Amino acid sequence: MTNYIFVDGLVKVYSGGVVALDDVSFSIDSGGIVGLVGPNGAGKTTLVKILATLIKPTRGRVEVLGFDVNSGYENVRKRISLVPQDACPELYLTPYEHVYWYLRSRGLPKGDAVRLAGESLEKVGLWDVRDRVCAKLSGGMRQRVLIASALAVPADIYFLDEPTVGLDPLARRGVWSVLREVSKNSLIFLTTHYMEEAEVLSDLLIMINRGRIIEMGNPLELLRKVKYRYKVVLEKFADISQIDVSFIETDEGKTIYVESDAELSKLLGFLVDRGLSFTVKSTSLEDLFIMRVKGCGDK
Amino acid sequence: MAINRVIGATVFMTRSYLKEPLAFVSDLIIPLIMFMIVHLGTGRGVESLIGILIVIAWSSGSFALARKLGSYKAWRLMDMFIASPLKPIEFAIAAALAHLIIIVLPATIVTVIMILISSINPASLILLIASIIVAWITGITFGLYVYSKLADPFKISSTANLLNLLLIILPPVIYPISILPPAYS
Repeated sequence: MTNYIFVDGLVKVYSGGVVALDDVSFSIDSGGIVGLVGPNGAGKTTLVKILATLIKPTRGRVEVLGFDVNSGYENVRKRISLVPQDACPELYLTPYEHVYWYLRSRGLPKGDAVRLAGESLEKVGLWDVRDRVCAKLSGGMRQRVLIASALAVPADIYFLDEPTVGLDPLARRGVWSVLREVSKNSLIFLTTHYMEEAEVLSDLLIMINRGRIIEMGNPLELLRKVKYRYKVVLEKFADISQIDVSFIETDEGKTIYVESDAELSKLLGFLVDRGLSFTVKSTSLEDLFIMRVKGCGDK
Repeated sequence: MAINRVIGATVFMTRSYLKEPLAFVSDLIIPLIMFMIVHLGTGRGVESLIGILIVIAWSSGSFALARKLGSYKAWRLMDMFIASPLKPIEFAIAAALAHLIIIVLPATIVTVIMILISSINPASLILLIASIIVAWITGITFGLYVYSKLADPFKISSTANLLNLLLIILPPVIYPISILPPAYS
């Protein structure tokens, strides 16, 4: 068993006193895909930057592949690869040059770099545009150039900070299948805003908010923690003042969580009587996330 | 293995410049116009060309290096290099070498003009190359200093750009101070 990541009591305070991470502890002992989800400013990127040895922790113990990130960062860097958030490739290189010369800059011999660059570009669907400069590619393709560059590296851990932002649904699914394949022999530490992505891909899911871990576990286990079976979504401006229910405001509208079939049937009766339009959905991990972030819905 | 990494990173940073020959023209146009004015006006064009070579070498170290590192920081491409076996010193050497390669063409153009308008003996050529190398190393040191002191990538670029422009415009690098009216001298 490989000890991939060990974090104990991690605190990161930026200059100005902003606490980005507050007493974060977790351990990852097996490969696969770890999804890190959280709202903007939750501390996801800070955590990735510390694990990828880009910045130092303020306090706490952080080990990656058995090496301390402060004292053994050179050993860590040899065995990791990173796609940074909102990064841009070198625009006047072609995808092939980008991947190939990035591999060479990591010390890979020519033969290996040629083979790995070709394989990686093929996997992310960029082989046909390998000789077109990045400046002439779409935003999604440029993002895939970075993904191809990072995944071409033979590494033990791949840190991908929101790698699928800007990709169309088809390209995103293409990247998912590549990540699944790569994760068979390594660990992929993935941050994402897309709960669906985290749910579909992750073997282990970490939810983070305001610098603290609020949930962690297998997606199926986490789903079992959701107390409510259904959610009823009404329009944002629907008047439900006469109904005795609590609701939360989400992007979708006013959301009422319901525990049982009987409760659902009663609620729907009220809504129909008042002529309100609504949608009924099964709860998902996204709901658990919303409940945790908004501080409600414990089982 | 370290050499392989440096070569890889150097080529990574050089190739994009080599695809844009017009960049060389725009970098050379102001210094060459100044050379023509000085040459036609005072007949001291060779000194002017030597100044241009020094400016090119300095700017490749300072302005270009700082701009490159600044843009990689802004694009967050730098993070991919940090999270890799490439050491910071190797990255800095690669960036410096990349910009040395980039100045080969403009420096050659200037040297050819110099040979055409005057006769250069081998001793002066060696002295000139030594001066270029010193200017380049000083420029690199300055570029790295600017990069390390300024956190904002855009400030890095604009500061280095300003200093480079002053070097071109103000005497005595490209033209001697003696050609200015006495009041300005």
